[in-house]
Amino acid sequence: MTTEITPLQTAVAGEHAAVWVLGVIGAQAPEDSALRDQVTDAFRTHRSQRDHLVARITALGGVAVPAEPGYTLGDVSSSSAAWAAALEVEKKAAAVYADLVAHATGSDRSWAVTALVECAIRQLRFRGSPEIFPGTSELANR
Amino acid sequence: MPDTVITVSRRSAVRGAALLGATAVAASTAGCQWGPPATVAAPAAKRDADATTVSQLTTAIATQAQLVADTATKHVGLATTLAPLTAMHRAHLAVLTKEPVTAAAAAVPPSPDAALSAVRRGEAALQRSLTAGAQHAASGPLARALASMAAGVAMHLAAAPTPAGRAA
Repeated sequence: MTTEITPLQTAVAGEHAAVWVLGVIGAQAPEDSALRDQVTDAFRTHRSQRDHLVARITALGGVAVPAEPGYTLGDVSSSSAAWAAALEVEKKAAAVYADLVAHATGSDRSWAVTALVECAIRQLRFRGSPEIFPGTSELANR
Repeated sequence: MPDTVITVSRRSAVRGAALLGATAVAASTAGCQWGPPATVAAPAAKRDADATTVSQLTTAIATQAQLVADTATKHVGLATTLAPLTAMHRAHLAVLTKEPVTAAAAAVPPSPDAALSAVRRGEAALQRSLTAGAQHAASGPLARALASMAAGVAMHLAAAPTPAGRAA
């Protein structure tokens, strides 16, 4: 059984959005600030993950969905708003990778598990609190 | 709807996996581009293996929860620090089983720093076990739940104090 392309496309679409949003936040963050450092690190990671997903889709014979021209993002000119927006990126990315875990197999699933765990850890760097079910918050209500 | 998602018994594990799948679909329809696509059902022949995985991980979580509880009892100064771990373990167990789960009393080191180190080692081992369970589960929804639990443990471990940090 191999991983199907559709869930990988969902994940790459999410990574396109993450890269775009983090790029905007990073560009507005003050130089030499902790926010700039953390966002730059996350940006590079998500860009790498996007490239990995594109390569996997290509290897499976598909064509990765392109990025949208732009994405909805509120005002991130204040430091607190920027931190919160970056945190939201990681929360959404965690949900994307949790769903990819459900739909992927083999090495793709292992990769998705690692990506989910790393998204969760980055939430802490963006001033998030430890979650009991990162990426699957609906489980907490059972 | 039952309180639990996946139980140890094979019958309940199958039903629970279906419930998890329904949840994933509901999340998909409620979300936007981040939402999941349709779920993947586990092949019937592999569901017994998933039930075994759930049983083993339930035991592993209960054992670690017992270590945390015994550590908090023996070293009262750590109780507040360890409370989030207790809440997490309880929530994780509730997803895996609706049966009461008990574990043998744990051997707690005599010094608080050593005890905290033992708890951290146990959480790291639990994270590895949950990760392995996610990687090998036949059921996609079960894999998703276990991966999320592994990430939850990783978050709590990263946020928990280290013995050196506690002393500082």
